[in-house]
Amino acid sequence: MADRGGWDEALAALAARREAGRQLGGPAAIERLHARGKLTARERIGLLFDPGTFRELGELVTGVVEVPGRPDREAPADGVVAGWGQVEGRTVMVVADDGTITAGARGPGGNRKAARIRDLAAQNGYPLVLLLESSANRFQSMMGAQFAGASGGGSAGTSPPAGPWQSTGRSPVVCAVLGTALGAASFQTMDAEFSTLADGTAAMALAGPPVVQGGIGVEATPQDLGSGEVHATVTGFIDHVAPDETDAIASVRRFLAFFPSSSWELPPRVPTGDPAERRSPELADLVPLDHRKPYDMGRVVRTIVDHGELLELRPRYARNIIVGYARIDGWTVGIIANQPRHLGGIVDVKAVIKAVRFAQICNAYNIPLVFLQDQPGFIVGPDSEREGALRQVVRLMNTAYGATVPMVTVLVRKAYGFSTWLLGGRAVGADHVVAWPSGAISLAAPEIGVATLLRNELAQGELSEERQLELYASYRKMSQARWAAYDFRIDDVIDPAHTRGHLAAALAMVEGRRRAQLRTRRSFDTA
Amino acid sequence: MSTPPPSTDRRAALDPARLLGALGLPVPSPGGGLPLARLDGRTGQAVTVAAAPTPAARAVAAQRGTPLLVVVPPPRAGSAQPGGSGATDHSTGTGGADDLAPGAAGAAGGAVGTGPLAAPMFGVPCATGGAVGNGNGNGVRRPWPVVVAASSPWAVAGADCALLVRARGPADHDGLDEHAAADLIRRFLDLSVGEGAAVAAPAGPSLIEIVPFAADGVYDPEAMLAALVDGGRWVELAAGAAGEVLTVVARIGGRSVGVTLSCPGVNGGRLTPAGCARVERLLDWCERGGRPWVSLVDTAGVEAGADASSQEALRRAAARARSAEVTKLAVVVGRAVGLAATVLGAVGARADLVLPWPRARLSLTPPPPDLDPAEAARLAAADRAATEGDLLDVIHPDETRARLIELLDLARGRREYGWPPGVAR
Repeated sequence: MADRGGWDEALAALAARREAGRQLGGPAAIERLHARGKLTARERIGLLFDPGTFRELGELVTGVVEVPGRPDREAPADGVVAGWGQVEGRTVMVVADDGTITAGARGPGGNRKAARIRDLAAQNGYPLVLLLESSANRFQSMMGAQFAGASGGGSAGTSPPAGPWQSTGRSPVVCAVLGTALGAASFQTMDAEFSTLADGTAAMALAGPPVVQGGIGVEATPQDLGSGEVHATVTGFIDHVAPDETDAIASVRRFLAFFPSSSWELPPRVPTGDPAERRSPELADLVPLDHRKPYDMGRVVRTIVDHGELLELRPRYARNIIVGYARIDGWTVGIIANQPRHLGGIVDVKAVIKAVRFAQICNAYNIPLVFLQDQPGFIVGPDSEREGALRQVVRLMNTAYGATVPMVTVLVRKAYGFSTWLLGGRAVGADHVVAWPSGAISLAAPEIGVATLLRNELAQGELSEERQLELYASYRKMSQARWAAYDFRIDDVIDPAHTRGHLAAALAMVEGRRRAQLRTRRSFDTA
Repeated sequence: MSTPPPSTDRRAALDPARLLGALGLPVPSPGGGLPLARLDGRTGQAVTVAAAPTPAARAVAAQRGTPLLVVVPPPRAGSAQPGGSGATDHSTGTGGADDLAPGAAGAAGGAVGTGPLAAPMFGVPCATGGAVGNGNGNGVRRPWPVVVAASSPWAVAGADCALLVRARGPADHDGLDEHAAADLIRRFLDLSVGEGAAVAAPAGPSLIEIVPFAADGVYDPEAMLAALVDGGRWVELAAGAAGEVLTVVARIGGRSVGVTLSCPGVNGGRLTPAGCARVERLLDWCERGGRPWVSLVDTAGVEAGADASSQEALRRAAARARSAEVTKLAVVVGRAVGLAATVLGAVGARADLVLPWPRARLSLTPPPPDLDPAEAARLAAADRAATEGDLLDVIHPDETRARLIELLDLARGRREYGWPPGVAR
């Protein structure tokens, strides 16, 4: 007979340790967190995963917080709760910082735990969700020469050091900034396939207030340095700025539902119950025929996609272009659409930055791109040149020509200039290009064409207003998309009401090619 | 396992017709090529049957997507001896080598890969790689196993399952009669081919009734194994080659896995060079078929001699354990000491996960004699490593099977898709 007594004692001690770990920093610390409108790591994980599916790893890890002159105190879970669970029935890895211990800073054990989960995600091809507080190393554990050996996001020692950035384009990394993310946490977020930030209670910056104060003598709060507002409107670094943590985590679930677990799979096709052939007669009413009149392209997109559900990214940054994930007949698609309601849908530097990153991520994860064009071309002028327009246009060009993922394009209204080619044109290998009867294709708008070709006559007042209008009308007629369809430079001119059906058919047609292209790694850059 | 000289008594040689009959397979007619048949008539596993594991036979089996069952007929009187050039074209299998007619294999041993390879295999039974065809060495994927039954050790070397019938010598199992061989073949194929077979719950007492709490306590490792694998069923590879570690093929949660199992009752489970070779052979089998490796570790260290070859055997096995590109799950049941812990996947072997039991003790060396035993136990306790984050859990022994199934499921992506990119397979 085995020594049962020894077993019982050891197993009871184990259970007690687990229970202590589950209490995190204790009831008082949890209460303080709640008072600030924040959730604990376990509560966040509860929101992320399907009920009852979380499997924790490293529950027994316990750190020690050492501060000179103060008694040592235990840090249950050492600042990190980690493991895996299911999101809509699919496995996802998670590392969640615990705000009840040293404001979410990690101890060495917590770091090892986080690194191991990251390795497991990368090695097995699962999405990794990082629910970030400060996510930094605990200050005292980095004081002194041991800082030299710190990996700053490296591995658990079971494989060569690898940051999440090294898995870009392999398996999705999702960052939810739920505290003050500085240093490594902000680097990870910049490289993530999807990022969200809880407005008001979270911020993201390269360096925090003490470093800014010490370095340049400027007093600034974390919100001054990188609030949700800053990242939503100025930097555009965060895909979804959420009103609170619950919404931020819900957006992570929505994002993951669109994505494959790794770049070696196709995104899951989910039957939505929205008929592929559903007609949308209201589309013709949404879009004015007059090219100068604005309208909301967002409504057009939502009318076309399954149940009007669009996960729009960076909606308040470069508002003249819409990017986001949606489904058409259950297929995940990446939408890139000009927004005529802002700057007439012109393609400026910010719009290119926004579109390029999105297109690269879709390309990496086998997500077909659907373009809806209504744009007057690239913005020109001294300001945009100084902003580096040329570099960004070339980035877009390289991205578009290098894309292997299927592209399907609808020319909703005006499609002018080189940008017409790069945003899903035949020139970059789009699989299917159709236009609405309102569509117009040309190197430039009629007004610009006249101004360029008849520059001298205009300058000398030789061109009457009546003649100018005649010329505009003539160019407008020449630009009608039907001429392109007549000699098969585009595939068709369609009734707007049938747009959804056309897109669904085109996506079904290219599925075989998508499968054939699996197992090709296509990474993306950060900007 | 001792390595007695191979039998040369042709009167007691394998009878192919009897073995095939015991498997419910038809006996092919002379010149009938490579039959495709199902074990036990139409109900069992489909196999390609050959008289020699030639590259041609392996290619045909792979194309068909079946295991290759090689039943090597005894050599005709006067035919060439193993290691000689013989009359058979080894690279193509021509000259009737695939034919099951008695004596058709010509130089039976010589038909197994190239002659010179056979001799070195003799001293280290079924060691790394294999002489079967040209499929030896790491990184060669061979998802469909090759099972060889013969009366000559030269004929079986390098097979995924090597059976000596009516003969003694280095093999996975030797001294079998045709019926025992048929039973082993049936079980091996059942445990190693296909995925997601029905999961049978093992029966038996709680593991804490089987394993004493003291870390150096001795127990019956096979009783423990029976509680962990589907239906308590397994087939041993290199049976008896080294008593301190068992290597078996089994299923856990329906998934075919290779298992190494320390035997603390044999010199504290200390690894010998022969034990290292056994582990390497299992790793080869796992890697060839893309099967996970599950290691149940309880070893007091190594029992290596001071000679260079022993040291080299340990070093090579440790490197092999680290480099094997398979899912690796280690359960530290008791002690995990020194380099033996690496060879067995518990420490420094890049395991996917290491799950210690509460009685587990991990240390670089055995405790020094002048150290207080209680302090030595505290320092080596798995609990301590789990507190510091070096190990990520300590599990109740009775959770072991469920945790292994869960982790094997987690690794499914990698096994199905060859993840991650860039890993040569």
